[in-house]
Amino acid sequence: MKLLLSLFTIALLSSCARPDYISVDELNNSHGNGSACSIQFANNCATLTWRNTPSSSGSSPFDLQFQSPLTTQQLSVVLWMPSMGHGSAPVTLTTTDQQNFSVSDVYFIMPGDWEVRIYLQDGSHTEQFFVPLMLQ
Amino acid sequence: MKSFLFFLIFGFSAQSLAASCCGGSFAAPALILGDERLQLTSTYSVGRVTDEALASGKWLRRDDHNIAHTIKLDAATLLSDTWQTGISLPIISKSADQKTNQTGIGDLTLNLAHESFPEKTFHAYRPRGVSFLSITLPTSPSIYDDQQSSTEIRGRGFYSLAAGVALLKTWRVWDVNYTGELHKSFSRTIENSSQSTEIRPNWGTTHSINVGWNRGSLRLGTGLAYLFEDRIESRGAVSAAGSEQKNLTWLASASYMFNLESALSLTYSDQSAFGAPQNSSLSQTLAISYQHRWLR
Repeated sequence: MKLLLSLFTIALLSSCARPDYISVDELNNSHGNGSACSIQFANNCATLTWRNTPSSSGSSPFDLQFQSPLTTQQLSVVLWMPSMGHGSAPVTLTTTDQQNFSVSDVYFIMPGDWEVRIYLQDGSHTEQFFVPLMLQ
Repeated sequence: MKSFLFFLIFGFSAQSLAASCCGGSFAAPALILGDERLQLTSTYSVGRVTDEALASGKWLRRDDHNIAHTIKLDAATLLSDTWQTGISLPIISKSADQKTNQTGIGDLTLNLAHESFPEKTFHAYRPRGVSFLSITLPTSPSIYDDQQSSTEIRGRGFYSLAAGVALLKTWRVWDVNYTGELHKSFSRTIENSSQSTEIRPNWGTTHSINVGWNRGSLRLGTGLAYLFEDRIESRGAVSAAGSEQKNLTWLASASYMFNLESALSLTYSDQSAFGAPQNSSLSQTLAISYQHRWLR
């Protein structure tokens, strides 16, 4: 029993966690916020601008400004957590001029690595662009 | 003899190997391991998510006071001399900064067990124990439902089937127990922006080993529990390969047996103390359990 207990203690001590914390600066620099036409499609491009710093607390609305006009039916936005294989509640898309879209009801339900997945439908062809996010 | 009975009561204290954001990945089944015909256990626990281990292995500090209060009711009864059945029902209340408190039932677990390793004669090393099958039902909201807050999430969201063994051995004042299981979760389809995505979970496994020291009516114990969940893939409107999830839970417990039928236990568990966790919310949890048994 003493041997078993010794082995258990050695196993316990040798497996101490060694946390490698990611810094807040790294998080904030990974958003690509407001870069003009940083979201590229074959015949269009878009600029994503967060209204507030995105977070896992409450809603994180943002705006998408497209270079060429499109309809709300052509655009869809999905929040996805690729590492865990799940998304969030559907977002709400609104536009007044078919170039500037407001994306609201954006709930990142937990901290971690997320993607804002933007899908653009052109006839039977769908293009996609993923904006990676790290949220605290 | 008393310490052995005591171990039977609390050697296998109820535990849930949880990624606290998402409900327990696997709850230890309600099992009878001694000479009782009926066993009821109620556990109250308070857990706080302290860190987020990302798929890359990096950690994020959690300071949003994400707290879960859980009342878990476990019942197990004999069906015959060697067969038994059990049920586990958690009721969970979750809160976090800037989020609405949510309360409701978690995922329900049912199990069927067989005394496959009886102790008919004394043996210095051969353990006694049971083999079991358990099914977890997605009876509560999960991350695959349209949630707006992590406090709404109380379950895994999948039907899961598990098979495992629970073994125990005592030597004088010491006891050791092992519980191991392999589980398979089943695919489901969710809707994203009116399009379907198939979520494909795979295999997972948990293994826990606990050591206890007994003196009179008191038992002090410690243990480690390892959890592994294979990647959860998504295919369809949204495609992603997913990442493996793993963590190691350390626990320390102190238990007191009032008599042969009832006992109380206090357990502290920490998922941030040991191992190299990945893709998991890490919690520190304090639990108090009361168990009552009706002997054969």
